[in-house]
Amino acid sequence: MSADLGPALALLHRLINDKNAPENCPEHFAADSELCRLYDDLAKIRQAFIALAAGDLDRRITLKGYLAGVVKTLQANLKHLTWQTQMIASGDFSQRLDFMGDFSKAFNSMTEQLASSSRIIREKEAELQAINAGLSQEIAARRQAQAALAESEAHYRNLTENMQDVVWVLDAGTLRFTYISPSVVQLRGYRPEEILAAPLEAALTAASAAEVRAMVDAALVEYRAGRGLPAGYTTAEVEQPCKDGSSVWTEVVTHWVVNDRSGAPEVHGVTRDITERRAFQEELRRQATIDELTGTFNRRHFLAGAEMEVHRCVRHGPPLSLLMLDIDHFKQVNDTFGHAVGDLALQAVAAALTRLLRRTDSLGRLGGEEFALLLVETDLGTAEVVAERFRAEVAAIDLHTDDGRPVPLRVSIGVTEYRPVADTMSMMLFRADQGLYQAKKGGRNRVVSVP
Amino acid sequence: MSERKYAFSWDLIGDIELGRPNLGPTTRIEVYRLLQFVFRDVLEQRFGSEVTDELFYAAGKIAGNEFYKKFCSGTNDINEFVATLQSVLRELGIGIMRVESADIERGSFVITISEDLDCSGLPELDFEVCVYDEGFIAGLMESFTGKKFRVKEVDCWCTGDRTCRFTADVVADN
Repeated sequence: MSADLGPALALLHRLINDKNAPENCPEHFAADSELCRLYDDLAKIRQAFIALAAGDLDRRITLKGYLAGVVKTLQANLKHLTWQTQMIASGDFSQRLDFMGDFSKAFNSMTEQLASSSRIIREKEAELQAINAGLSQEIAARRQAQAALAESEAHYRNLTENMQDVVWVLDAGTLRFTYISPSVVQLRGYRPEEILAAPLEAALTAASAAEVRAMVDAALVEYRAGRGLPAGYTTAEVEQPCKDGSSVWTEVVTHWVVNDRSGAPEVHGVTRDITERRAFQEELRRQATIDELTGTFNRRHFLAGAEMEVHRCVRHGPPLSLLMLDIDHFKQVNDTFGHAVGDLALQAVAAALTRLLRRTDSLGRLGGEEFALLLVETDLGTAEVVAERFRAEVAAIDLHTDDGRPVPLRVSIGVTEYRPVADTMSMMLFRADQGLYQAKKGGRNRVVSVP
Repeated sequence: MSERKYAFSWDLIGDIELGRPNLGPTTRIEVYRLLQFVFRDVLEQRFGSEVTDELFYAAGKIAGNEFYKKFCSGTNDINEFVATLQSVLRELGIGIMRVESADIERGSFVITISEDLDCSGLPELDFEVCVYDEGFIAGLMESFTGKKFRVKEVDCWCTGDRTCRFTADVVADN
């Protein structure tokens, strides 16, 4: 190495190795313009590298030439890389590098992976959106269904709470009511919560409760054996106690249902007040069996009952007696005092006979002023005695018209009894009628028996 | 000018496939540069250097407009536009374009072109020669944004593949 080049080389080495090397060529080298130009160019390249190392990509590199071009290329690449990174950050995963060797491979692998992940995320997002859309539709449909259900429930609640019939649900396992409509207050005086808190027995008479319990137990046995619940609807009339101590007759329509939620069998029912219907039925029954004027059995009902007693005698044997009774000179009563008094006379005779009648005997008006009496477990002799009492009781009737005139009442009676073995009601009526005829013929106000 | 002979149209380029069934659509770069530099020579002699550069800038701008319409239209997304442009420029052997910065809101861009068709491999000069490229980039940017751009080659350096750096800025009186 030339001794003259020593300081210049040391200067250049300092530029390479010394952090504190001067930015410009030192003045004491100014005479060597070639050295200073080299120094200044290298210093510019040094400054460019220092800036790049510090992350300053905007430092303008004014130097030209190959080495400066290399630094500019590096600066341009890094700036392009920065821009690409910004594009990636904005979601553009198509960015690729092809000018930075292994880093390019890693970078491209990263963006490909990001693109792949992004695609998967988008696909998943699309799936989720589709699911969300489906869920939204489902939710909308369910909301509509819930709204419709709520409307329907409100409708039926309104219906059940305002109807007279009582709607209820009975848990078959516990025999407790789980629902009962408010109309139960009108029916029985109890509030729904009182019914729900009380056992089944409180809602029914003891007999009805026993029947219901037996019916439920039998159904549960079948159900637990896998043979299902009873199908169809069952109707029954039961007597139910009321809060005021009275009772009410109701018709109960029930059917079995398996609870949707619990799976437990339960009985759904509708209870209706049938007091009026039963009264009407009773009235119909009364009208069908009772003589309106006298309150005794009418002819048809009396004869039907008498026929049954005769059949009983055929099976179990006598005694059984039949009396036929006719008011004497009844036509004269009507003609003399009028039909109104005639009716009073018929009522008075019926009342007198009824007073003496045993609970097991029966009295019927066969027509006009003619009555019949059936005396069970009574032989002919006793029947004659009873007939005489009847006759005397009638004769003792103290009937007067409104204007105070006395209305004398007498009766003739024919008596017969059941003849073993093949007697009939028709034959007994015939014989009693013969006795009556003989009593009339014998002067009336008397008893004649025809065995 | 009463009647023009050379108003640009892609029809003027002709049917290359038909006309060059054996030689195909490419030629050597020196032939392209021969054409460009003799034009510079003639134009400079006739009109001077400044006018020559202006003519080249204007020609490049028409080329950029037409190039955009033929190859890069169809998207309003800047990223997609850049990606398409990079791809087409590389595919047609025009250059390797890279973006150093892009400020969409301010309309300010810095891009580099490496292995440029016009200048890569030229000897190092004391002046920037890529005025045709400047006009070309301005035409592209104007076509894409609908705004006037001023493009300037700010750095032209020799690295063996001669990379050029351009700034493209929206003209304030747009």
